[in-house]
Amino acid sequence: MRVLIMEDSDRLRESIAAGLRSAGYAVDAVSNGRTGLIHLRTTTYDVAILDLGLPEMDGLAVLQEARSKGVETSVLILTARSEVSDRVRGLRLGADDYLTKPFAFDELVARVEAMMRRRHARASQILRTADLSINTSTKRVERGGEPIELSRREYAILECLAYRAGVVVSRSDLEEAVYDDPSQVQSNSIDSAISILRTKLNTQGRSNLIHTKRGIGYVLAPLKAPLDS
Amino acid sequence: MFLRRSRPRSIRDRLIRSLTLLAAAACSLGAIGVAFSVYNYVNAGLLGQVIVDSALLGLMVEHDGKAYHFRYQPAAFETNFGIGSTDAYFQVWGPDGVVLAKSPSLGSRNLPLPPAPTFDPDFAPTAEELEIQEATLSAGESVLQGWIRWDPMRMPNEPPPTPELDRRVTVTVARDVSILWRSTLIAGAVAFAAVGLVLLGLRFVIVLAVDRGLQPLTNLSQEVARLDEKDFGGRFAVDIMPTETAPFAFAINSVLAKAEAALDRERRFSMSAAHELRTPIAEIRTAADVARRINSPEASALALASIVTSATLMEAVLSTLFRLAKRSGDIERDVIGPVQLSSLIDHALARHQARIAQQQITITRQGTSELIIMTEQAALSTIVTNLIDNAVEYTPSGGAIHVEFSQQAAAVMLAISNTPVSLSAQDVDRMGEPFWRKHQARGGGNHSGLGLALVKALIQSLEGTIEFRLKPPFTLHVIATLPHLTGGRVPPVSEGA
Repeated sequence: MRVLIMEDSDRLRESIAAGLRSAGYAVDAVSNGRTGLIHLRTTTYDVAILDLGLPEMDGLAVLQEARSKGVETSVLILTARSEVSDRVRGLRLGADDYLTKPFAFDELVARVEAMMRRRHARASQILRTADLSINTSTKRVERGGEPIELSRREYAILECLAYRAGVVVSRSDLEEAVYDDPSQVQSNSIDSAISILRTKLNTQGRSNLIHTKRGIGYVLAPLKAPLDS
Repeated sequence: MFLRRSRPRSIRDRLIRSLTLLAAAACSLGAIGVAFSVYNYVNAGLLGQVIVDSALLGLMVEHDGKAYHFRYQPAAFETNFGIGSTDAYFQVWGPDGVVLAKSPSLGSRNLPLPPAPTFDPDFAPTAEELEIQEATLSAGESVLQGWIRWDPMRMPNEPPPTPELDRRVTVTVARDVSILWRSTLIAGAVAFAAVGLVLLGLRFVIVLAVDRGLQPLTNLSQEVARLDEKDFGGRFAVDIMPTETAPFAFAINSVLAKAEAALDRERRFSMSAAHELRTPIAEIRTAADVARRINSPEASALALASIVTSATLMEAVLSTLFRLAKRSGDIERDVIGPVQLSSLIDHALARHQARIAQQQITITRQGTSELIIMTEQAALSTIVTNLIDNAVEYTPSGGAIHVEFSQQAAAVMLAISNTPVSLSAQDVDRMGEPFWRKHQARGGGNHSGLGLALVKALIQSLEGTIEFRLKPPFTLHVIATLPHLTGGRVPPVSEGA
């Protein structure tokens, strides 16, 4: 899952980025509105965290411009402006959520997760495929009721596949969702991570849930053949 | 010991009371006038009757050379002076004081013999010739008495008058004056009764008139009472108010406008201050939350460093806010002393030497190093430092800064010009406003938007002026004029304060 942070305060931007990375998100962080808009238009993000008081281009202008250009990324406005009129204006311009500074980081993460679920049309925080369950809030993975320990990156790949269960996800999409800088990723790193994931998920003779669609990508599904691409 | 103070009556009550008293006094005077008029009218009637009576009576006295004869006119006399009459009398005396005749209405009573009159009329007396006095009958009744001395007409067979014979008779008539007082009293009583009734009606009219007259004032006071102490947005419609209340409404409108502006300033200041503090608080909280979440020594160290920086920024904002508040309230004053302005400018520029070199900013200056200003040293240091800081911060690479200072009459002028990236006329109008920044963002720096506000407050508290001018192409001129101050402790010349 890839998140864009647009925040002019260096310290806050870096803290949020570090926190979201630790939560398993791939993060891009920019300090001004103009660069943020370029990122939104050129990269696919699941969620964008947008400060309103941005230099060069105001946050609301970024939002308005992005929506007018067809950018569908879920946007969370994160600002010190607490007036109702500001919230209403932000939401009407196409923001999906609004959080006022100062805030609890856990709440920010919970809101990002909720936006992810809404984005992928999921009502529950638990993603299920066959006997596999993934709690996107606690990051806990179980198969057949047995907990499975995953690394941050493995979890991120699995969650990305689980959000689009039954649909083929390309390697590049997985790289974008998992790595902060996909250009620096080794070509087989996703394949290696998938292999480890399969090993951890298929213990005790359980059936394989992650299938390879050669030349295209991977799909999480209970059947051997992918349902849809 | 408590002094009892009665609650002041309302203007309405005062007006109603005063107008009622005035109306009562006017009506009473009217009633007295009516009674007086009735008195005069009746008195004049009595007097006229006495004059007519005495003239007629005199004409009816005849003398035949031996005795007096009276030609009574029954219709006139018996009606007026007959036995049945109770208020009209006559009596006639001969020259020797012997009563020759008197009206039956006198009965056994007598009119007093009046003294010899001034005139001896030849014919019917006029009002001036008739002697008039108030007299008392022997039985005590008050009468208006008139008298004449009259030479009676001769009888047809009367011999020629004997020269030595004085035939003149004293004729007196009188009218009972009780009718005068009775009429006056009745008229007075009726008039006062009428006054009472009129006053009742007048009171109603007065209340209506006062209420109607005071309506604009009542409306104004009700509107004033409805004013919300938290909302000063309402205004009185001065245009449609009467001339008398319009000045009040205008003054209240003026006060409301000032209060609204002050409240708005305070609200904006508080909101801006809260807004400005939210970000460093968010930085601190997020750094702590994330460090706890990651739970590694490296993350904790980074978080602590971030927290210290944010706390320092908050401290700076709060410190500036306090200083701004103190200077705006004229609470804080610094030591007054001579300051060498060029040293202060050198010191401020030296702090940015690296940036100036790196950005290839051209610095030019004009002003004598001998210029000394008597002012608050610390305040002037803050002013110069902030202005130079701003100029260097917002001058782009390859730009220029020009500093000029000179003595002007009793003041010193300091002008700092630089080429900012972009500023509009609206931006220049807002410069010096607390928390205002060209972009409402920090841009990675630690600018709170309070620097120029503090400079403005300091200059104003030093009785100086500051002006921001924008000249094409994008050159900002900040011109500060500072008068020499006197008083206070004067330390040695400060170099760079």
